[in-house]
Amino acid sequence: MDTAGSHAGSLTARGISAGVRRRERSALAVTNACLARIQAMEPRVRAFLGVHEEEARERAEEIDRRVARGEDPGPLAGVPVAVKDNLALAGHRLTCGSRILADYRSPFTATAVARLLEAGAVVVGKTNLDEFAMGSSCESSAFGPTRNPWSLDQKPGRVPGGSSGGSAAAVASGCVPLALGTDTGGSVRQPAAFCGVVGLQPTWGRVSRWGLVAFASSLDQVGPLTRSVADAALALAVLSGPDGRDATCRERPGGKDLFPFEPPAHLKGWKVGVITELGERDNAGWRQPFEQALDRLRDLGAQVVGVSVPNAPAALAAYQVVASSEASANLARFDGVRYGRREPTQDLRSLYVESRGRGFGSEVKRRILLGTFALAEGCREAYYQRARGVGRALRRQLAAAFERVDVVVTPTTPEAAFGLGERAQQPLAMYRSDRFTTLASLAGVPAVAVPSGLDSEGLPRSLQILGRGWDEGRILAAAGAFERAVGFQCTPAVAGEESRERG
Amino acid sequence: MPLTTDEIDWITDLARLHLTTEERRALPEQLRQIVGFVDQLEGFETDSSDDGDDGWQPTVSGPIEAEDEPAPGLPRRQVLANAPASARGEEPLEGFFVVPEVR
Repeated sequence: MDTAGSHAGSLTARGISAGVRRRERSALAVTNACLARIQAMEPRVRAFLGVHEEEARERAEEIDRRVARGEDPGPLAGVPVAVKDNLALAGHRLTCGSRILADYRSPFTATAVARLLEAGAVVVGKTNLDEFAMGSSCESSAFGPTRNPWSLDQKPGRVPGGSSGGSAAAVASGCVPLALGTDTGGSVRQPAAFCGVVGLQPTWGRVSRWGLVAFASSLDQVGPLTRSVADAALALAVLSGPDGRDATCRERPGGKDLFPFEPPAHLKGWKVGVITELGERDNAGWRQPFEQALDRLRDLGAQVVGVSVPNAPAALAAYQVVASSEASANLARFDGVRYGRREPTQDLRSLYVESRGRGFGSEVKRRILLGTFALAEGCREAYYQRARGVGRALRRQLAAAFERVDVVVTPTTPEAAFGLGERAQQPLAMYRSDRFTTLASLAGVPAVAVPSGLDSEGLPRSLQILGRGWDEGRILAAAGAFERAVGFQCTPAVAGEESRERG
Repeated sequence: MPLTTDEIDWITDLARLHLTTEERRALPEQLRQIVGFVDQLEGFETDSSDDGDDGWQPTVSGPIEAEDEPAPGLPRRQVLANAPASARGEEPLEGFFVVPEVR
């Protein structure tokens, strides 16, 4: 009897794929268990904007037929995956969490999604996000917020983080073992931290962005959220590789050859850098869990050393200027002419103003206005050019640090998940959630968020590990060793839920 | 550099954005705070761009070229499928995006 399918939410992508390929479980059973879990969780979590039940079952049956014929569907055979709704999937809505695209259906599939499908994955639905990926809480979605699975028994509950909050919550709540998110300033890593899952931001240029609705093109990344570091490595191996439709996506070693993945037993001989300039000017809320994480690394044999990255405290401000500037240019295409919401007007200029004004939410408008200001004549040098210069210097300083250490670590976030509605009217307080993640974003280097345990309120905390460009193997190795040492299990208690530990 | 009301009106016009009453009340002060926050960048080291290179290529360098091979684009019908209802013209404007006049 196939009992494994009834526990799809607790299985890893690796485990599901291995079982399907060995005919120990059917892809259909796994998909059905996943869909049942989604049905049970969605009224409370609201991670999904759309669930593709019929299509997912048909796809799973096709996978099973291929296995029965002796074919190998691929390394993600039968794995249910969720996709953030700013990544295109042909024939399906692509809303970006915005009213302006509420009825838009994509005519093509993003390369990253296509690669998962080519590897045998079963896409079960599209997940919620902050509007146009701009946010750190998943509250700016035009379709309502997602709730953090770790606080479903609280009112109003806590945010899952953002902008990939839906994807993080879908993985944390056991609906899928793997979800695609996107990361511009921390939007995979920060929700991973808040939800107690693994979130990987690859090197910029590792994964094709074709089919990802652009927010800030020099920063945007596609990255996986998973329940284990090994699954993140598997996902990246599938996602990596050049794409003729994205000129910035290059062929580099350390992508496809990430799998099979086995973390080292210890970190003896490793040097782990801690940035001395971070934390000089703020409260100590993140210090204790971070020091505990450093102790774990020391127990594994690593030497923790201080490294100087003088521009590290400026990363958030520089990111805000660069990202908003690029967003103001990228979102100019939403003008009511060729697609999206159009307001009835008598002249073309009003068409733009009214369609954009009524289609975009406040956070998107705030960022477009900041970006427009930073790029405007008389301001460009003082704001945009300076921010890019600060970013280039940061990259050089970080590269110098990597001459001395193998990886650099920071807390992923300054705090655990905050309450729903708590920061909705305080943009600066919201942005500060990304003060550690924006480091890697600006430098274009890979970074992984790995759970480090629960705090005194029972909320997940997370360690961020940064590496040199194209060195995902090293950060995943460190993350895998750390994960094994911590022994964290992503099992948020859900009020009224039967125990998942059946005999 | 505190943002003036005139500057906020100017960038709102540049961005072709209509603000709701609530946004008109809250956004100016929020933007001033954010601009005040990013003003801290003045105190940090900057690197100038490479000669003639204004492209942001964090870890990628060198020319990126593809073969000049023609390939089909999206069919017109598919492109128009997502057009707003009032954008779809009838003959002789069928197949075009129709917009209000420029005034």
